[in-house]
Amino acid sequence: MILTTDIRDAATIVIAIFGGVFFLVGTIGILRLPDFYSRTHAATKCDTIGAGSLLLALAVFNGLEASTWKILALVALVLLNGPTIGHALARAAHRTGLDPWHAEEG
Amino acid sequence: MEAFFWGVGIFLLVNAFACIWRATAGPTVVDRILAVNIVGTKTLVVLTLLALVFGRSMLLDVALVYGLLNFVITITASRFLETGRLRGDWS
Amino acid sequence: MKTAQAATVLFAFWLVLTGSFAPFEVAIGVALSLLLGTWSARMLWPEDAPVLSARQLFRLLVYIPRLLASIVMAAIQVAEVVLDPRMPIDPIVVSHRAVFARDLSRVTYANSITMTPGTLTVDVEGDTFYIHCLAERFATDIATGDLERRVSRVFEE
Repeated sequence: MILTTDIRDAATIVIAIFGGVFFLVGTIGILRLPDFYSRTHAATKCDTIGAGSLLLALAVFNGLEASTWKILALVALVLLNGPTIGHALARAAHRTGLDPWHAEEG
Repeated sequence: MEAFFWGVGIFLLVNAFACIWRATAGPTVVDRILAVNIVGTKTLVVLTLLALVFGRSMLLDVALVYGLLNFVITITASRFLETGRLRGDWS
Repeated sequence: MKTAQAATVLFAFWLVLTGSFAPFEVAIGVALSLLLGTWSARMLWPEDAPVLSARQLFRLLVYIPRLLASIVMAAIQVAEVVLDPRMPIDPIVVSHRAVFARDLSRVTYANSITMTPGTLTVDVEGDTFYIHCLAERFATDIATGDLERRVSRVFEE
């Protein structure tokens, strides 16, 4: 019984650190990238995968209980959230005439 | 495990505050909306962490509603920005 | 039909929220999901839900894990770009024409573009997709029509 708890905790830590690294990359991307469209790349991809895997880690930690289904519903919500928000905002920016940033020539 | 969860929570809050800087700095409105949505996603994860650490499954319901509201608010804001109205067809 | 589908999804969500099978709560859940299902089928979705054959459903279930794997690849690629001190990006917007018969495949295609490394769907007008690429090299996978064929294999056969 102790062994299975150890395996569960180890899996939680590994998945959570995987998610945390992507969260950090997403934050650095939001702060560093030059324009809105490139920031949306960081936000949709890194944040979706970061939040998804962190919540998955918590679901693994929680084990087989009723509240695990709530956490899995949260995972589904986050996975739906990322690309949809990215598309809606990028479309709003495009239609209101925001030009993408270009690297300078030479 | 509890110490690890506290660590993750504090790490997420630091990230969230870094994103709030982007929300205040802009420069465009869409940047701000995007940053607020990301802060919302991080808050959602923090709420789930708190629910597990304190053993209160009620906080999970709060997180669920928070996530749904976050999603709907961002979609509504982007739609309002694009069309200038909230009802009727999108285009 | 639409009402039944909506009510089923709502009832599943109710079970997730309450987490109990006590007869009283299940009864309230059934009543509420029927009520809300009727309302949402009338007010929210004027069209019918897209019909999927069993074959297409199976292909969709195979497609979703591939999509998840490609999000991970995309995130790793964004990480490479962001953590590089020189930040090797030169964003361009390309337009790509892809003809699909159903709206469902158009949505899936736009989402798959967002999920592949370095690309993001900005706008869709009819059959034309405007795609923002972090650098020109990421556009090749879309220009060859590889992704397009994969999506149409899922929904259009």
